[in-house]
Amino acid sequence: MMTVNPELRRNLWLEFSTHRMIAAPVVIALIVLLMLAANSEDVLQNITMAAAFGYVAVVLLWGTKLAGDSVIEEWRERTWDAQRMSSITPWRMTWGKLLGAPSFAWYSGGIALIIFVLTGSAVNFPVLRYAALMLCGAILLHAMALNGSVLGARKGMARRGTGTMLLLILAFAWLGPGLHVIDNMDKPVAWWGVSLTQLNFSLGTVAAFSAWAVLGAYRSMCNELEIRTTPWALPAFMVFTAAYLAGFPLREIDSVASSKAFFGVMAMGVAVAMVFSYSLLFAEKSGATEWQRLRARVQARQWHRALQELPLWLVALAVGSVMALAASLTGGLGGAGNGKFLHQIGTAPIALMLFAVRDAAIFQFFVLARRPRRVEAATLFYLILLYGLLPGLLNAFGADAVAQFILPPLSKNAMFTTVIMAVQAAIAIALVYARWHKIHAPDVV
Amino acid sequence: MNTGATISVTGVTYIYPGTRALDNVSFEITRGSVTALVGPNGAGKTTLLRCLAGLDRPLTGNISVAGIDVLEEPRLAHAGMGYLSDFFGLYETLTVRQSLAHAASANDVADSALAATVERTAARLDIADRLEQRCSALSRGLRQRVAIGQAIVHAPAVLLLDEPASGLDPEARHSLATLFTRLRDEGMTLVVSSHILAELDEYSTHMLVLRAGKVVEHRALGNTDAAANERHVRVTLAASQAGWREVLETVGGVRVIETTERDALLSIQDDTFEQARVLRELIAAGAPVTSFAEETENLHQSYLRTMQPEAKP
Repeated sequence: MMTVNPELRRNLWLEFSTHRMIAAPVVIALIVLLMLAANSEDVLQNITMAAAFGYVAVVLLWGTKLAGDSVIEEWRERTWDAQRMSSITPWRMTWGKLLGAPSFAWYSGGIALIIFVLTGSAVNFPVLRYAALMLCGAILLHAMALNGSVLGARKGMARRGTGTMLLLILAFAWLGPGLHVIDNMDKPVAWWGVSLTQLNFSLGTVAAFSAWAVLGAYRSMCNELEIRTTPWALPAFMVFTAAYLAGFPLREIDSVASSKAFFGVMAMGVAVAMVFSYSLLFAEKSGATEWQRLRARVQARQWHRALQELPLWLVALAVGSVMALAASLTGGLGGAGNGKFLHQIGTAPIALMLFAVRDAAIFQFFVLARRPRRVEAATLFYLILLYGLLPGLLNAFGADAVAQFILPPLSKNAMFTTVIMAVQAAIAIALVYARWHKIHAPDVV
Repeated sequence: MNTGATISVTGVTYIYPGTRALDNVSFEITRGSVTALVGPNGAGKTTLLRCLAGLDRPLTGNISVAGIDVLEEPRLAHAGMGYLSDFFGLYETLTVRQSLAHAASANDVADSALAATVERTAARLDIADRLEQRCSALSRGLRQRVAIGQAIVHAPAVLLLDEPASGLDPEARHSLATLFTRLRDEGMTLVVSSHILAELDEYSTHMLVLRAGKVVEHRALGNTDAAANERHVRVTLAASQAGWREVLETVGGVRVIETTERDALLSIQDDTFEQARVLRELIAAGAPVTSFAEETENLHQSYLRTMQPEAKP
């Protein structure tokens, strides 16, 4: 027997009233009538563009905000514990919130989208593909916002507005290229040896990433609802993203099974791993308790459970390290030979990952304080010191030789940088271990 | 290991940085009991309830509720559990009917049974006349009732309540106690954390005392003796009597817990004929007995007795 998704129904109760249901189409109808009354030459085209703009404003921006508030608002209003105690499965909770939280935005934006399709068809515009792009774009942004909301709730972010601001920045980041597509929709895009129109390529890209975003939101929801997950999705997504991005520099490649292609994916994977490591390091809930839990599983030789306890930033770091090793090996063997990017990179990928390892260790050093406070701010302060202030000051005083031991020049000497960063990472890890040993190890049973 | 207990907790340890909130906690709670979870602030009561509810995961240990491993199958365990947090929230713009319907639906009550379930729960909590009101318009006491209604709407076998009476007036507290007694009589197992011991005394059958994350005491109330088949009886004399303690020792089948010049607390088998025999023998031995009455210890006395030894330097 089919039952209504309780989370979807609750959101519909919250979002819809008779007044709102009538007001939205009436306002939209009045705007259309006003444009018709203006009786300009390009009236249909103007209505099409206005409908598209309306959809973007309502579904992509406002809807993203609503999806981003969906879990964190419940956490703030203290209703989230009851939801976590319910029998709603993570998947039902995910799609119930994805569709439900921005349901009124979908209702209003849906009307705009229908108008866009109807009027756009009349002016010979490829409206269906655009509509699909807009739909997938909304799903992508909403799912990313929901994912952020779950992470925020897990981390206990109580402040209003910070998450929403971030989401709006992301929305604009997506909108920028999107608007570019409108102007260049017929231009070809070369990617992994194939050529597609900008519109088709964007549609495929957004559809694929929206599917990943929904999967990510679902996996985050699993963790939040105490359903343990083995961390396979993040490495899979990292490889996918690396392969996707590598397709741009390798646009004219003959075979995707070549060593050059492999090197390209691995090198791009290092960049992807850096982004994921840093963002997850700051976004995930992190503390001594998480490490103690992991240690307890390892001590009990519960390897599968230990995998489930691994923080995702560490998974990203581990995957990135493997990719860095592979990129350095294949790059050194001439895999990058004819490529236009990262020619003769040597051990640079390994050095890059060592930067990330050192910085993650600095973060963990503050996390493992007896009473950790403002961990993110303290880490950022030391990163600014290490990346900017100290080397800058030393260079200003002519002590360049000393400065390169703090911020080694990656582009000039990859091997030197790798050695220096290995030493720095080892020191940072030793400090973390010493702090753990002093403060937290005695707590473990 | 299935011991038939509704709640079984084994070796649970929960650590906050620098603090052992729960330290190797183990206990069992039987079906149909109401366990008063008491202890000073910071003893670990809320952490224990959240672990039982599967909301927080302990570092080590096992928790089973109604035969389901809470840590392995939290969603399955939730179907048989209700939990009311000390700081709960309601969906302010939803009506009471919608709030209860959502809670029921979220706990696998079929859509076809929603209306009847909501009506039944509302009647049980005396809020049937408030069903169409928005939660934002309710008083503190009524909000508490709606929150409890959400926790019990799916008829769970176990109900966990964290400070359910805080902020309520005496009348609301009394009606809450009546409700808990009714739920207990219907076979529900309750674990209630509260600082208001007099209120817990009205409906609790067991007491679980936590201090610094450890279980200090866990036993049935109403009888201070560990053996369930014994009762405590206080004997009072008309006047001090020389050789009173020797008289008590001559009476068979009793265990002397404490004595003064004029009275004694005895542990006697839970059998009225046996108690009559003891009384007969005391009188026959010449003791001027003026009172012979079963003595039960209230929760407050039990709690203070449990906490007192540690309080001394």
